[in-house]
Amino acid sequence: MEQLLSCQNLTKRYGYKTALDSINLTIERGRIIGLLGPNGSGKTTLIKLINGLLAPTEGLLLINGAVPGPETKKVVSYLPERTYFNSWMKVTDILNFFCDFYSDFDRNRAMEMLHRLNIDEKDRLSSMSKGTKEKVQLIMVMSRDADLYCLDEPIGGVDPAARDYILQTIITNYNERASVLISTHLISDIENVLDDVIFIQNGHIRLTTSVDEIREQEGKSVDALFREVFRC
Amino acid sequence: MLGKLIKHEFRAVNRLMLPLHLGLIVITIIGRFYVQFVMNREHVNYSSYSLRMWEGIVDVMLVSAYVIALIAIFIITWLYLDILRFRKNLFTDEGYLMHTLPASAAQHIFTKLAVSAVWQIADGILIGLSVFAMVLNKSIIEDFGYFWNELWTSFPQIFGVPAGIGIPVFLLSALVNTIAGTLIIYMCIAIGHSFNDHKVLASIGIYMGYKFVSNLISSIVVALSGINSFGTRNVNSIFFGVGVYNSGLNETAYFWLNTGFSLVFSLVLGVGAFVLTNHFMTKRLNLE
Repeated sequence: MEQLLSCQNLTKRYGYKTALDSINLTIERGRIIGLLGPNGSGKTTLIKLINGLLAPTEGLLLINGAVPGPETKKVVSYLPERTYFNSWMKVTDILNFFCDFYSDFDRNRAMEMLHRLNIDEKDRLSSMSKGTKEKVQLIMVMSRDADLYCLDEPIGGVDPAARDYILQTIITNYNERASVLISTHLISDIENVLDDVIFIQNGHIRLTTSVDEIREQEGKSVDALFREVFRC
Repeated sequence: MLGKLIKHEFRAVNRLMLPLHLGLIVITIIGRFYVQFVMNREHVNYSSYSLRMWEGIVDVMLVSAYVIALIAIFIITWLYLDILRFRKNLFTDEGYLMHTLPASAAQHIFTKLAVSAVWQIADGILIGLSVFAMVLNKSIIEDFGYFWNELWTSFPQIFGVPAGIGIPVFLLSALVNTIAGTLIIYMCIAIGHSFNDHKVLASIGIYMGYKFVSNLISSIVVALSGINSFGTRNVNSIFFGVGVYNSGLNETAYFWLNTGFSLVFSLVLGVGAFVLTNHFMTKRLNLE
C-alpha cells in the first residue's frame, strides 16, 4: 500500500528531556490509526512534528515524501487539544476563514454537520460551551478533503451522544486515500473504528499492529491490551 | 496566500484600530468646538474673578485630557500591533491554527509587518492632523506662506540639501527605522517564545539585552565618527574633529553620510531581525 507518512530515526528533545527517541514509523493510506499511550508518552509531540509546529532535533519526517511545510499543510488537517479560534468569531467567520485558506474545505459538508448538531452559524464562539466549541472545531477539521487527519484528543470534552456522531462522521468522511490518526486515552470509545494501533511510551514505539491481529492473536480488546502493556 | 493573510489580519486588527481612531476623530471634533468656544469667550465681560479661575482650571484639565488621550491612542496602537497581536496570534493557542495554515513563516511575518506599518502610519498622520486641527487659527493660516518659505530657505542652510530632497529622505529614514523597530520586537518575541518557560520574561530580557548592545554600538559609532541620525554635524567626533568648523566636510556631505549610515544601519538591523524571526518561527517554534 502507498506510504502517506514516514518517520526515520525521528528524535525530539526539549533541553535534556527526550520526548521522542529515534522513532521509525510508517502510515499508509486508507487507515484509521489510534495513537495510544499514557500521559507524557510523546503523542502530542509526534502530532506537532507532523504539523510542523515543532522541528525535529534529529531524523526525518516525510508526508507524501516532503518535510512539513506549506505544501504538506495543504493536505494535513489538524485538530489540536485546545481551542484555537478567537472568541469574537462567529461560526460564519470561521467557515469563511477555512474556505479562504484551505482549497479542500467543503463548506456544505460543514454546514450539514453544524445543522445536525444544532449549532447556529450566527452564534459567537464566546457564547458557546467548551464542548460546543470543540464540536465546531472538529467539524471544521473533518470538513476538509485532506490526506491525513491528525486528531489530538478529539472526543475528550464532548458528551457521549455527540461522541458517537463525531466518530461516525470521522469514519464516513474520510476517503480511501486518506488516513486518520487519533490520539486519545478513551480507547474503549474509539476501539470499534480503529484499523491499526500505535502504542507509544516514554518516546518509544512499544507496538504497532492492526486491531484484528490483537483480537485474533491475543484474544483481547485493544483496551485490555493497553491496560496490560502500560500496567502501572 | 499573502493577500488572504493580509485581508484576514486587517479584519482582526480593525476591530480595535477602527473604533480607537474613530474615537480620536470624535475627540478632535469636540476639542475643536471647545477651542472655538474658548476663543469667543474672551469677549465676554467677567462679573467675577472666581468664575474666570474656574474656567481656567477646566481649560487646563481638558487640554491635559486631550494630550493624555493622544498619547494613549499612540501607545495602544503601537503596543497592540507590534507586541500583543503578533504574540497572541502566532505564539499562543491561536498559533495552532495560524502555523498549520498552508503559509510560510516569512508570509506570516510579512503580513503582520505590513498591517502594523499601515496602521502605524495612519495613526501618526491622524494624530498629526488632530493636533493641527486643534491649534489651527486665522493667524496660522495667514502666516503659513511665511513658514513655508522659511522652511525652504533655512533647510539647506542647516542640512546642506534642499528641503525637497531632505524631507523625503527623512521620511524614508523614519519609515525604515519604524519597520526595523517592529521587526526587532518580533525577533525578541520569537526568540523568547522558543524557551520552554517564562516566555514573556525571556522576550523582555532579550529586548533589553538587544537595547543595551545596540546603544553601546551606536554610542561608539557616534563618538568615533560624529555621525548622527539627524543629518547635522554638531556632534563631536574622534575622527573628524570637534564640531562643525574643524572638520573638512561640508553640510551636504555630512547629511548624506549621516542619513545614509542611519538608513543602512536600520536596513541591516531589519533584515537581520527578519531572518532570525523566520528561523525561530520555523526551526525553533515551541508553542505551549
